[in-house]
Amino acid sequence: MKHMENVLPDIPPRGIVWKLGWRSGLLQALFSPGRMQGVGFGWAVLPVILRWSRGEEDMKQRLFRHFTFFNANPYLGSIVMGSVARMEAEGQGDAVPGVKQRFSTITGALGDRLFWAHLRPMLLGLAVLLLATIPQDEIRVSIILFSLLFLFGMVNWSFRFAGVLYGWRYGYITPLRMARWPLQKFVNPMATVGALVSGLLLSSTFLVSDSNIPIPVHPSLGLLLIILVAFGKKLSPVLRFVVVWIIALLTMLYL
Amino acid sequence: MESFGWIWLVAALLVILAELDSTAAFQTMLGQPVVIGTLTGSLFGNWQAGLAAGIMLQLFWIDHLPLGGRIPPHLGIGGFTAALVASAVSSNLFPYTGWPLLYGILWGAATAFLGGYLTRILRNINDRLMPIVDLAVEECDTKKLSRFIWLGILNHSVLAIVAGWIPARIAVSLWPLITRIPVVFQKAESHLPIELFVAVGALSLARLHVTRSRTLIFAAPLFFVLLFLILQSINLEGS
Repeated sequence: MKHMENVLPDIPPRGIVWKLGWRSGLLQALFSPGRMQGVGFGWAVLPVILRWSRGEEDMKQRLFRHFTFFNANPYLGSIVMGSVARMEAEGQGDAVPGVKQRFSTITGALGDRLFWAHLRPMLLGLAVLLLATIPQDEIRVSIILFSLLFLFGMVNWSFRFAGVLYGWRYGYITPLRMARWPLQKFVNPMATVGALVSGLLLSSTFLVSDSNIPIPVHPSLGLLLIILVAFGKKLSPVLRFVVVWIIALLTMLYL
Repeated sequence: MESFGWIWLVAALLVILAELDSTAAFQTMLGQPVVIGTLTGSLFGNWQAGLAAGIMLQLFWIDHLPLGGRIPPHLGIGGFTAALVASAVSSNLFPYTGWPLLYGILWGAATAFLGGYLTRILRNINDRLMPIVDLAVEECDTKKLSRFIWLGILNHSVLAIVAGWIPARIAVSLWPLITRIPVVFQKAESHLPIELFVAVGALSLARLHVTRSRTLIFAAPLFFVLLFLILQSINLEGS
């Protein structure tokens, strides 16, 4: 294995960050149960393969390495790309499959908790709370929705582009570095805000401002039914919707 | 609602945007029901109805996370359809009452499930493309490999039209028939209890974030509101 670690700078060549960063957004464009994000990943690192391949046979080997099974959290995929790009540039391609496998586990553990389970629900909950409780006019609604897009966009795109730099900087030791991320420090405050938002949102449903509705009969009755029926035991998504829709219909017809 | 061709054309672009944003491309928040619902509602001249539909669906299944290839109901498509139907039919007969919203939400949920089901089928179709991908790799044909990504984007766009746009058109054209049902006329001024949907959403969010150590944070607002309601009812009785 050829090591050129000292030769490569800590910043990737011009254009690589941009190309890998935006291509990481299409990681799931051809998602399949067999290879998961494999094709998306292979396509995303094509600029790297084209840049550092030496001859057709070498290129074929590199392509085969990357168009295989791959699964990672889509928001952290760019870190894997940056790391793999450095390994390909250093001629450590043979170690790539093992490192990618390690990345699958670590990005799944970190990214799923950070993005899917905490950041996105928390921001959406906050947006719904504001939209459902403040008086609605075009300007307020636009500001709330724009802030939602802006805040999440900042995090999303920062991870996508800075992820390439991070992965490139640490190369094949990136999974080890990521394992030491203080995830709990970020996740705990988000979960606390999420819990507070869900409490506020639930309590806001008791305070119906419309004077035509017999307060608090309909909200409390509805809530009681929902709590008993929908959350007494785990319901399928279909059944959950059907139950609530029917309660809403009955409330409309008889209250 | 006058169904001008260009409005439906822009609506098709919006549902494609919502579908792509959900899984295939970039995963920003554009495809979320509150955002896509408000945009769709604005397009059809009633952003309030679009926003209301978005709020109702946004948190409803938020505890079903798309982890490890799992496919929850497709909120992007569902939010779009619900908002389009609610806003397109609400100015038709009973402006801004519960019926258009309830009707839109029903279609929104149906298309959310349809979207999830079709996504599963699409992924299985993608699996069948893999031998062709391998052939392109064997030939080192990088242009062909790039085309697979754009084919994926195209497939998702078709899915968006089939699962969201076509059902929305059907729903809007069926609305005049719905309004012939006598009870719809009799209860024309009925108010849809949006709070029921929001409450389920709040509980779904709570299932994600409320642990034993955060029970107090979750319960405190409820406690104060209940106290307020009790005091209010005592005051009313007293006066």
